[in-house]
Amino acid sequence: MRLITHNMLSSNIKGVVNGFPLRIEAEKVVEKTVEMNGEFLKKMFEKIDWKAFVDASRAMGYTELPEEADSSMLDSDEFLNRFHHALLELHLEEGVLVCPETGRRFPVSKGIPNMLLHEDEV
Amino acid sequence: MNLASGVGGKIEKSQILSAVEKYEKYHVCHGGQEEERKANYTDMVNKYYDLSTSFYEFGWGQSFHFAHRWKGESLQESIKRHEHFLALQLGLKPGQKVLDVGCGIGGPLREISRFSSTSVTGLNNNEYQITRGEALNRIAGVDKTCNFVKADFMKMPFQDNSFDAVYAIEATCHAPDAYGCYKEIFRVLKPGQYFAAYEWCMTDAFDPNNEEHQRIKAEIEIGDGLPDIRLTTKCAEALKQAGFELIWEKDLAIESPVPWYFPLDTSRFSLTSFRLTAVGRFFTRSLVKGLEYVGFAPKGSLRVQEFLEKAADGLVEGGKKEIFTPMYFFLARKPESSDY
Repeated sequence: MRLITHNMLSSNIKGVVNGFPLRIEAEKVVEKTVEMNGEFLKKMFEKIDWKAFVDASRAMGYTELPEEADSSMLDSDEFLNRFHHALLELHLEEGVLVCPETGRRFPVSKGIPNMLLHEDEV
Repeated sequence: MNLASGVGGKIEKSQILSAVEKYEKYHVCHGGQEEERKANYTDMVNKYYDLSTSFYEFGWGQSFHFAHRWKGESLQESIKRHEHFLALQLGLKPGQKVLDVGCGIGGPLREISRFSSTSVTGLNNNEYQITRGEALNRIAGVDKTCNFVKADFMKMPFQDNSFDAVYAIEATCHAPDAYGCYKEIFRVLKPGQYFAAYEWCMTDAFDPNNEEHQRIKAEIEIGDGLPDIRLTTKCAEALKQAGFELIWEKDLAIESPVPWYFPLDTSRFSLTSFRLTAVGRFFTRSLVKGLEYVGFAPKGSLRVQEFLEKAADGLVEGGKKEIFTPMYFFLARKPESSDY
């Protein structure tokens, strides 16, 4: 699971008000090189919740992203490279996503987040 | 060999025969009730796709759906065009975040992502299909921007207003309740954006009091893992009830120069769709029987082949009688000013 996926996931358990962002507990992180596409990154930047993204990348062991960012930074190759690496090259292969409100743990196995709810959570 | 090793998906090979029996018990032909199917739809659909996915891929390809088809067009060409049509109707633009609701092994997801340069998330509750989809995404080179999430489309794990577009191809027919499913899609779609789908439906020609019509409907339901096939009018009503503006809708089967069910019609012969012909079916049945006998394919594989063939026959009958369509198309929009 890449952080591009994590940034849109939310806990949708019955009664949960703030199910985003899910906290990452990483057991196995894999880095896979991906060719950079500046245009794609610029479009994705607008859609990303930056704080959740930074916290998630840190949970995956990557600390090179700035606390805050704005679109003017997309002109910097250094920033773009870091953004690209965190967004598309870091993979949570094994681990857990934790609901911030209930503590419910959603497993990530072989890179696939299992967000299925139990009957009593629907 | 892919067919043999893939049968049963994530079900233990020794458990496949009992899984087939449990699945069959959900359905009318075997005494099952519609209410039970709706209540247990996650389990039923999961069993269905664990059992049938490798057969689908072997016989049909990576996109598990039918298509409007021109004369002189191959089945695979028509399937791609059907997917491109959907992308064009949605007005997809590069860099958009798109949701594929009930994505199967991701054939359409890969095609639409490449066609429109979008980032597509596939939602599916079946682990085997997702694992297969991930592998195929890597081969196609779209794994950089496309992904899969294991979840239920009646309760999606996304925030409100997350996606620039949503589509579903012959998938939301698995929902126990159309309104509940469309309401979730409405919630995760951004205001002013579009949802497009191809739905499996019974048409206005379907007569619920006609025993033959009921038999055909039941055959399609057991063969395709469906709780209950809805009327086209019910889908349109559910969309509006969920808050969507219905831009346009049409049963695309009506104007298809080559009937959508032709590839399944055993009275016809085709070299390009050989595996789907009567001879091809016989060949596959013999192959599966042989593989099951020597232990390469698990016990129960032939039973799966049989209920899929029964479904195919039901689909052909339903198509010929025009009481069923797999391509009731609609384009709907979430209003700019909406509660979510």
